[in-house]
Amino acid sequence: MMCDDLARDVEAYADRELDADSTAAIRLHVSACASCRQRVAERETLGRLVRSVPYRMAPDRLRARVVAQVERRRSLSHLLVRTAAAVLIVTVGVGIMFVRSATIQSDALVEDLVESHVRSLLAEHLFDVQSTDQHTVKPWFLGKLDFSPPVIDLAPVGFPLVGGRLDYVSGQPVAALVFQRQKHTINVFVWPASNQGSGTRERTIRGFNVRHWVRHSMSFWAVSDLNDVELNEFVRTYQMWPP
Amino acid sequence: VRNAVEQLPPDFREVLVLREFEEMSYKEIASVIGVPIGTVMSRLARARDRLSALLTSSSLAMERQR
Repeated sequence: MMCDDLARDVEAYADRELDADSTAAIRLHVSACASCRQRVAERETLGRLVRSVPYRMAPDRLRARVVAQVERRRSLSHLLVRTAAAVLIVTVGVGIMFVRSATIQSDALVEDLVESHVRSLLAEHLFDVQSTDQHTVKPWFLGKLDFSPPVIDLAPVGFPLVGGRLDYVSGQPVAALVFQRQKHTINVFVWPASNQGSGTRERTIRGFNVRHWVRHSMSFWAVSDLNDVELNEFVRTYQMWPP
Repeated sequence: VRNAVEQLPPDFREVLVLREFEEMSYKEIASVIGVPIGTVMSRLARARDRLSALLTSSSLAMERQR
């Protein structure tokens, strides 16, 4: 634990959103570092100050009216989204009929995956669940997806699992598992496979390496800026895990 | 403090209120306002940064003396 790590985690720490390990690490660091101790104290003081502001709940009737309006607006926007989705499905359907090429569809999918990978790094949204414990990450997906993605940790071979999140690829919710190799992030997107693939497919898009395979009726897509050799090693190990 | 909270942009005030007064977790806030958890975290951090800047150092000092 360094001062930089604390600067990053102080909010989550004060909000008690960190896991037990990170919380313990911060406590230990704070007990030895005066400037970080002050930083945490200031953050806690700010919280107390904010909570000292009188906070009044809206009267029940007003609250109910606001909620009702929001719900109405939300159901309207759902309708719009659904209509847009229906139009899109028709358009895509017609497009596919004309083009009759599976390659183009899969190109779009790979583009989509690379986009998701980049977005996850840019938008500070790498994890919904940050944990190196596969038994924490796997149950987190329960109730969020209609399938249970296999979750493994490859830390023993230098690719530690660091977390997972819910992502959307081609309009469907998928599981994204996040692995780390030194400073490189590997996103593994997982969803039920519609067909049995064989072997591993390799692609490179805008400098990102993409690997795809199907195993136990699940479709896996690994995306990373990691070099070919190491990513292939990751994929080989992943496919054969547990050894 | 109240003035400072009221000066925050609505997006920032929203997450701050849900966190400090409604005592919701990041995950709950994310599902209530329909944004990813990462966005909740960054909005909260920015809301607090802005709040600290708005508040005079004297009010922080006063509170610390209590």
